[in-house]
This record gives sequence, C-alpha cells and structure tokens, in this order.
Amino acid sequence: MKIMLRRNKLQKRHQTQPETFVYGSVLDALSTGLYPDKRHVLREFIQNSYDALRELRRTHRGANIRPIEIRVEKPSISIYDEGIGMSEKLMRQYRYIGFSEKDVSENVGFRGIGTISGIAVAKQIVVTSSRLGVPKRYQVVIDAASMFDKVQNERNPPLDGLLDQFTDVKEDREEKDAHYTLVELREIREDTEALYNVDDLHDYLQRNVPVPMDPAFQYASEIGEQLRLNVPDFFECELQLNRNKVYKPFQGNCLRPQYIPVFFSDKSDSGLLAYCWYVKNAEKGQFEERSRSGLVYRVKNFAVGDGDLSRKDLWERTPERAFYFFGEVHLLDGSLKPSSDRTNFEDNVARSRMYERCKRIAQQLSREAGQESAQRLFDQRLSLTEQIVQRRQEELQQGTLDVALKADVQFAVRKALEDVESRLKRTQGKRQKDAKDQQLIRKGKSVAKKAQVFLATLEREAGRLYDVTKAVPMSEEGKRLYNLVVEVLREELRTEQALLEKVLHRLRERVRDAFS
Amino acid sequence: MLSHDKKPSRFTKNKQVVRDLQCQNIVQHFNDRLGNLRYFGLCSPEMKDVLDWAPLFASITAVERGVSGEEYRDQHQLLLTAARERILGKLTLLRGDIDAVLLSGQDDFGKPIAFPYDVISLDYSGGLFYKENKEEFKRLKAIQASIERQAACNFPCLLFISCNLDAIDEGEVKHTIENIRTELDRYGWNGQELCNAYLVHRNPVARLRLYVPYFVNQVAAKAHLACESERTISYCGNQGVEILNFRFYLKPDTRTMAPRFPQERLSQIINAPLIRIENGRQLDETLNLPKLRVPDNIRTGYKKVRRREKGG
Repeated sequence: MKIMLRRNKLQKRHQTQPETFVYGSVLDALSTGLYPDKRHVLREFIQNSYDALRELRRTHRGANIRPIEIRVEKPSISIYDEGIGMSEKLMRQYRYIGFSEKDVSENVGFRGIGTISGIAVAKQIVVTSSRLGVPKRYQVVIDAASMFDKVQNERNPPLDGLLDQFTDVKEDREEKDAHYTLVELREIREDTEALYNVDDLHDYLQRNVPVPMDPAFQYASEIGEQLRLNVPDFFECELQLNRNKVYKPFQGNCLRPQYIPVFFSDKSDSGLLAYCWYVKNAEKGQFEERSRSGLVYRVKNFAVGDGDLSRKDLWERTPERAFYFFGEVHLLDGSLKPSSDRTNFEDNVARSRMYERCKRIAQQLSREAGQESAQRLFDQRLSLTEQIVQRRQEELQQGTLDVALKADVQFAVRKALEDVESRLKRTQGKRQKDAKDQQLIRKGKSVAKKAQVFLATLEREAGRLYDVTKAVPMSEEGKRLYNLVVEVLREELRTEQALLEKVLHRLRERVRDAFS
Repeated sequence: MLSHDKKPSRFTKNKQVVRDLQCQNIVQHFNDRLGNLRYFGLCSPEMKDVLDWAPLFASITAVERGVSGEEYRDQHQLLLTAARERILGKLTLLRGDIDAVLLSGQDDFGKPIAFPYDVISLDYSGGLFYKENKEEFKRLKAIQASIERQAACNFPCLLFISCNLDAIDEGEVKHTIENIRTELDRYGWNGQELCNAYLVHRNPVARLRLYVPYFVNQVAAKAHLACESERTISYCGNQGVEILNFRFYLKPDTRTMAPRFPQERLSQIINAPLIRIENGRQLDETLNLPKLRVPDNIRTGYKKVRRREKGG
C-alpha cells in the first residue's frame, strides 16, 4: 500500500514538473570542448559580424560598409561592427543554445552554438546591438563565471535554469538609423590569456577571415576582381585589430595568378562548384614560408583548414608540389558544411564530391609544377653542357688539354650531349609548348651543335692535345713510367674527375720542370 | 578646427565656455603637437569630455568605475561610445575608481597607467575632500600622485580639475589658509587682513579658489614642476550645482636637486579674479575679497626677476 502511494506521489510530481533533459555540464562540452584552439571562439563572433555586414549589404545596396574593429586590451576583447544589427528576437535568441534561424546558404554561422562558446574564454559576455530601423537597442549579459560556479557547486543543475538565472536582456532607446553590434568578452579567463597575444591573433585572422588582399601584393586587385566576378555573393570587409588593418597574407616572389573553375560535373551546363586562384613560386620548388603556402579552402570567404588540408585531400601523388603554390579554393556548394572549429568539413556526400572534383586542381598544379621542374632542369643541363664544351674548346685551342684526359673529356661531352638530345626530343614532342619550351628548344639545338662540333674537332685535331712526354726530352723508359703512373691514376680516380685533373696537372708540371 | 564648432554642443552653455577655455589652453601649450597628444581622464561613459577634442589626441586613456555591482554597464557603454565615434582604436580603458587608479598606478585588473600624458582631466562629479577611511584625503592624494607620476616622466602637461562644493573639509582649508597667512606675514604683507577675509567669507568658493591652486603649486614645486595657474572658473552646473574648474600648466623644472619654492607668486594666485560664467558669458568676479598688496620695492624686485627670467 505504502509503495503504491509513493509511486502515485512520484507520478504526480512528474505530471506537475517537466522533466529535465539537458544539464549544465553540457556547457563545458559546447564551449571549451568544441574549440581546443580558443582563437576559433573569437572567429565565431567575427563570423556573426560578417553575417551582419553581409545582410546590410544585401538589404541596403550602397550602404557604407565600415571595417570591423577588434580591440584586444586586458581584461577584455571587444568586437564591433556596423552591420545590420540584431532585433529583440535575435538578441533573446542569443542566449539560446543550438538555436539558429540563419540560412546556411546566406550566412557563415548557422549552428547557434558560436556565441555560447564565448563562455569558454570570458567570465562575462556583454553584447549590445541595435538593428537598423528599430529605435531601440538591446543588451544581453551572460554571466559565464557564475554559471560555471553553479555547475560545479550544485552538481550539475539543469541548463535551462542556469541560462535563465545568469543571462539577462535589457532594452533602451536608440536612434532609428543606428545599426551596430558590440560584443565584449570581459575578463578573459586565465587559461585562455593567449588571446591577448595580438601578433598571434593578427596572424590567425589574416589567414582565416574574409579580409581583403594586402595592397602590397602586386596581384591583389586582379585576384579581387576575378573573385568578385566569378564567386557569387563574394564578400570581403576590412578588419582592424588594435588599429592595425588586417590583410590576407601573401608571398612576394611569385608568378602571375592563374584561375581554375571547377564545375559540379563535366556537363557543360553544370554549375560552379569551386573557383580556384593560385600563384606559383617564381623560384625553384616550394615557397619558403610554409604556413602561407598551399591552397586554402574558403567557404563564404572564411578559411576552412589551412594549406595542409587541401594538400592531404587533393594531392594523391607528389604532395610536396602543393607548396610550390599559394592560393584559395572558394567553395560554392551550399551542402558543404565546415566543422565547428572549421579545420575540416563534415563528412558527407558533398565533401566527397568536392574532393573528387577538385582533384583536377591538384592534377593541373602538379602537372605545372612537374613541367616547370623539367624545364628548370633542362635549362640547368644546357648551361652546364655549354660551360663544359666552352672550357674544353678553349683548352684545346690553347694547347693545354692533356692528352691523358682525351677519353674522359670525350666521354663527359658525349654523355652531356645525349642528355641534351633526349630532353630536346621530349620537349619538341610536347603537344603544348609554352614560350619557355620554345626558348629551351632553341638553346638546346645550339648547345647540341656546339658539343658535336667540339667532339669532331677533338678527333680531328688530336695533335693539339698536350703530351708532356713529347714536350720535354724524356727517355723511353721515363715515358713508359709516366704513362704507367697516369694509367694508375686514371683507374683510381675515375669517379673523381676534378681531382684526377688536378693531380695530372701537377704531375705534368713537375715532370716538365724535372726534365727541361 | 574642432568638431564642436559645427555640431550642436553636448554641454550646457556654461560648461561649453569652460570647455572652450580649456581648449584654448591645449592649443596654446601644445600647438605643434595637435593630433598627437595623450589624454588621461574621467570622460564619462558617453565620453563627453573628450569627443570634441578627439582629433587632438593620438591616445585617450579613460578611467571608468561604473556603478557598484554592475560595473560592466558603464564600462561597456564607454567602449560602445568609442566604437561608434571611431575612436575605439585610440582608447585605453582603465577600470576602477580614478583615485585608486592614480594612487596605485594601475586599474582593478592590474593594467598600469602609462604616464606621461599631455592633458590630465579630472572632472570630478563630487567634492575634492572625499575621504575613504575618514583620515585620508584620497582625492587630493590622487591629484598629488598624478602630478608626481607626471613629474617622474619629466614631461609638461595641462591639469584640469573640476569639482563641486560638497563636503569641504573646513579644517583642512582653514589650516592651509593659516599657513598662507604665516607665509605672508613673514614677508610683511597684509596676510592678516587678507586671510581673515577668506576665512570668514560666506561663500566657500572663496576659500577653494585659494586652496586648490595653492595645493597644486606646492605639490608641483615639490615634484620639480613649475606651475602656471589659469584663472579659476566658477559656474552653475546641472541642477543648480555650483562647480569650480581649475586649470594648470605644469612643466619640468629640474635645475636644482633641492625643490624650489613655487615660481608662481602668491599674489598672482590671490589677486587674479575668478571667471564667473553666467548664461554662457564670462564675468570677472572678485567676491569682494581684498587683494594682496605687495610693497613697491618687492614688486620692483619681482619685475627685475621676471625680466631676467625672460632674458630682458
């Protein structure tokens, strides 16, 4: 009987009090757990700023887009934008977790967890916003420190109660045409004070957020123009960090940019899946600064991962060639969803399709890099062969080329000539020859001709070779002995041509001095 | 040149006159560095004190305490004002009570004050004789600390102080005026008559306009700063509150190790009439106080010294 009563009581209580499904400790998982790199938290707020500016531009054509301002100064970090601003509804939703009505195709942020991530870095979050056309402003205050205290002290209380108790929304009057949002992350937590490192933050922002290209980059305006032309709804906005403008990074010594559009399929009417721009190192091989090399994926002009991600995903062979270039791959498929920390994409069909289709970018770049490498090598070989031939030719003319070296010289020149001829043939056989190829063919023919002429001259004018046994009075026995020594030296030093020549030269001089 | 020339004033008519006079001082003393000046002060969450002058400054250090328990509101508002006015990048916000900040050299979060400044504006909303633990004149000590910290950097500055007549410590003021009387008597001047007039005057403005410049002069001299006091301004502020405004130009004076007597003469401080501002108009106001009568021979001596100082 007692048991029955107790059960009834419990049932009644359940009927009056709604069950709790989410508890406070989830806060930790959604904030600190999601973003091991705390700079991503800051990026979440900057994403909101960009979304607000994007909406302002979309709804008010010709509106003045002011730079986003970030002020990092102990004990807080402030992010200010003059985007469209937030309405009362949005400001109230600011306190919700996992709630977002943002259209994923039009906005960068869409999960509704970005703002709450702020509690991972700050003890208090204060947000003030006024929406264009609304003569009010709203202020949300999230007391993160007290929330976490309560989670610890009260053994994981329900999340709803926590959010209700430690968040607050106030309203005030504002000018109707005012539009702005100021986020203040107050009292940055001790374990995330690395966020105060402005240089580090600058580096992170320039690689990740949609800031313009550095005007110091010679191709900045050209690339910007191509992106505006080819990437629908392309958006970039200036950003100032502690008064300093932030620009996308670049590497100086590069060739003119190239562009690759990638379509959803090979059909002529399929839409654009990605638009890639890249520049190649003007010097040999990889760019020196690795962190600024490679292709970076961009979704809504925000970076996803770094140059290593595309290198891993797209370069099946010769991955080292990924860093011969730097550039961006702007992805236009709305089904592609970056992970929360934007270091990769969610694993779905869109991602597989994107990898599959974008591999052609890597193939093209790899081919270019291979071709460029082959051209460079050919050029080097030509120069080397030309040098060898010229030097030996001079020695032969001056009568200083030792008869003992004749076979070695012949062998070296023939070998170089064979190499030149084979590369020349390959280059001549290429279906598409660029200016560099044409230049190499011209130079190759000339060098091959010189080498052939030299070999013929060497054969024809063997009498011009210097023979010390004939140049100085020497007995037959002496001659035999000298030739024996030379033969031994040639055998022993056959792999060290330079040393052999040096030793023979000295021996020849000593013999000449001794016998003359 | 300044934006308030074009925009409607943010201040009452009277306060605007004070602001104009202060601005004249800034231009007069720092004409060649306008645009690169450094400001330190209490500029309020709406930053009224500094917005019109913002083009003059390369950096603005604002101190804001906020309302107890909700400190973040005013501090956040100040950041918002700065951002909306495009001066967020110039702003350094020190969070805490300005007196505590000046005394400790850092704010509540350990952020240090980066002296020197060109303009130090202590626009107090209350009186100067505020005591925290019934013994310390915290505000006066803070003013003293600001002068000393500035002096340590060996850099000239303008010091603006505004206060009302709240909680004047008559004992402190009376003793100081007694000291002035002793000093004047020592030189055989009309110290008795003059100081009595100040002590019995029914308007406390009379005593404060003597006390504050004397205090600043003495502190500055001790810190090896020469002080030039501008005429004290009195006006009626919001809700009929009587406000006094003081302006000083302090410049390094390190010719000797031993501190010098204040270079500014007592007669200059005492005899300069107040500027009384009413309905936006400036009036000379003596408060019917007697002037300090400097004997002719002394005056001549002073003139000689002045001529010598000017290189005449």
